[in-house]
Amino acid sequence: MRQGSGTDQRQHVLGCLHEHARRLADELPGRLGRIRVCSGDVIIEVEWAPIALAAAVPAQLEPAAALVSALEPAGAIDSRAIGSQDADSGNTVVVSAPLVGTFYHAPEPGAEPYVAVGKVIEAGATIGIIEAMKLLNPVTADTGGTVARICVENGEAVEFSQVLVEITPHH
Amino acid sequence: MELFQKILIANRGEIALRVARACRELGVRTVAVYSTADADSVVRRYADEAVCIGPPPPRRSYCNVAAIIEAAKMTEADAIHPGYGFLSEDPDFAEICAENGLVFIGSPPNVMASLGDKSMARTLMRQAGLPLLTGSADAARSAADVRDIADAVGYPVIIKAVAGGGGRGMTVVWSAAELSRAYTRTRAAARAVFGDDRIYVERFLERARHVEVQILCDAHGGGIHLGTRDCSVQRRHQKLVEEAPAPELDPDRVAEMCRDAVRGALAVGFTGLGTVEFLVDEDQAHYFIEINSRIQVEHPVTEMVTGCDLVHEQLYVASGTPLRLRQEDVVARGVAVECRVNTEDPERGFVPAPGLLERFTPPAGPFVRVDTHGFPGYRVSPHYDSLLAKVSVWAPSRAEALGRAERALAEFDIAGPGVVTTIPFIKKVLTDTEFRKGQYSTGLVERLVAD
Repeated sequence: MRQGSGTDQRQHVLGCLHEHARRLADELPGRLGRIRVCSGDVIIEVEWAPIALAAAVPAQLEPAAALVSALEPAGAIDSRAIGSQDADSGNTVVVSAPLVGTFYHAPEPGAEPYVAVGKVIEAGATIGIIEAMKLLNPVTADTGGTVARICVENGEAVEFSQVLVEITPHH
Repeated sequence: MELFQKILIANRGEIALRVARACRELGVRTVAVYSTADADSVVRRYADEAVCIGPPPPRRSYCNVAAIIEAAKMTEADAIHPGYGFLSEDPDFAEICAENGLVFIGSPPNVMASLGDKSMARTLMRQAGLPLLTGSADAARSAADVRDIADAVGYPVIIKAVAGGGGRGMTVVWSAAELSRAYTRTRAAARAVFGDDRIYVERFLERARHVEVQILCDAHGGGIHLGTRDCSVQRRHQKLVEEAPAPELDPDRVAEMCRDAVRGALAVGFTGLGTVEFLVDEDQAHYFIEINSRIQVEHPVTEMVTGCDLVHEQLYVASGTPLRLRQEDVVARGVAVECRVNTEDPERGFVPAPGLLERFTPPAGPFVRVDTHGFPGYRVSPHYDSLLAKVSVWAPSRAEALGRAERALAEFDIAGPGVVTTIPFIKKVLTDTEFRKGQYSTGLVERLVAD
C-alpha cells in the first residue's frame, strides 16, 4: 500500500483501492454486507452478510483479512501484519517471511545487523536471514525506503508470511 | 510407556481434525500446520497451536519437509502424525524426522521404502508365502519383456507403476494390439507423476473385489488384524463407498486372508497401523496387491464394527507401547458403511466442483458418524483433494446399514454457488440391486456411470 504526500497521489491511491474493492465485491461470492473505503489513512473494511447458520464465524473475519492482504505488496495475510498496518496508518510496506524457520538480524553472531530502525535501504537489500534445516536463506526487501520497524527478535522462529520488517518507501 | 507430549499434524481437512480429536482424548497437545489457502480451517482453530507453513500448492506447504520440520521444532513437538496422502508414506521424510529427534507416526523408513516399491513388495510377499496374481517377478525391463509376460499370463493384463499408489499409475490392457502404446503411456505417466518409470505387469481380474485387511503391529514383533473392508465401489481406482466387514465371503477364506496379512506385515518388519490390500476373485481366492503404511480414509468403518479407536492405537504403538489388544479381543459386530461425499460432479466425469458452502448441515441421528472439515461459510479449496465429508453408519445387519446410509445421505444439506457433490451418485450405488446383494465387483461404478 503506497501513499504519496501530494493530493494527486492520494487520489490515485483512493482510485486504486476503490477499483480493488469494486472488483473484489464483484468477484467474491456470497452476500456482502458492507464495504467502507477511507482516503485519509487508507482503510478498507468489508463485512459479509451473516450466513444463515451460526457456525460461520471464521468466514466473516478471514475474507476481510484476505482482502487487505491482496492490497499489500508482500501479500502478507498474518493478522499481526494487518494490525501493524492499522497502527502505522498504512504508509509502510512489509517484508514477510518467505519460509518457516529462525529469523536472524545478522549474518553471524556478533556481526553488524543487516538493518536497524531508521536505516535507509535500497530495493533488493538483504534485511535478515532465515535458517531452515541448517540452510541460511537471505531475505530481501522488494521496495527501498527507511526501515520503520523490525517486528521479529533476533533468533525468533517465524511462520510463513509473518511480517519481519516494515519499510517506509521513499517517493 | 509415555505417550507423546505434543504432536504436529502434517495434514489438512477431515483427517487432520480426526487426529487432533484423538490427541485431545488422550491428553496430547496438538500443533496444526496450514497453508495460506487453509487459514480458515477448523483444525487451525481446534488445535492448541497452529503454524502457517506456506502457500497453497502442496509441494510448498503440506509436502514441504523443511517447513514442517521447522514448525515442529519451533513448537517443540515430539512427534509428527502425517495423516494420509502428502508425506504419509515418504521414507525420506520419516528419516529426516528421526534425524531431528521427532517420532514419525508410521512404519520405519526402510520398511516404507520396500513397500512403496510395488515390485519389491511383491517379491517380499511372495517370499512370505502370500498368494500373488501371476505376472512379472520384477520390474519389466523393456517392451519386449512386457509382451512376453503378457503372453504368458494371458489378457487382460494390468500395467502398474512400481512407484505407484493411491490408485494412480496403472493401465488395463485388453489385447496384444494395445500393449505397446499402453506400455509407453504408463511409463511416461509414471515418470511424470512419481519420477520413476519402472513398471510391472500382472493378470487383470475383471470381476474382482477389492478387499483389504486392517493391521496393527507394535515395535516388539506383535501384530494383529482388525478384520476386512470391501472397497470395490471405485471409479478409476478411487473409492466411493466402503464397508466392513467385506460381505458374502466364506469365513474360512476371510480368516486365511487376515492371517496372510499379519504374516506378510511381520515378515517385513512392519510397525504401526496399516492396510494389506487383496483382490478376491469369483472363486474367493485372494491375491496380494499392496501394503499401505498409513491410516486409511475408510478407517471409520473398522472402528465402528470393532469398537477400537485406530488412531489411539496408532499413537500407542508409535510411542513404543506393546499392543493393548490381543487378537481374540477384536470382535467385529454388525456392519458399517462409509460414503465419501466429494465435491465432484458425477455428470461431468467427476471433475472437481469446489466453491463456497452457503448451506452445510451434516446428517445426525442414531449410529451416524460424520468426519468432515466443512462448515457453513467454508470455501472448498480447488488446491486439494475433493473429499469433503465421510458419512459412516452402523447397523446390526447389512440391509439395515444400507438403509441407514440412505437415510443419512438424504439428510445432508449442502449448497453453494458451483458446489456439486457425489451424494446423488452414492444414492444410486446404495440402491443398486447387485450392490444390495453384496455381490458387486470393481466394475460396479463404471456400469452405473454408463446407465
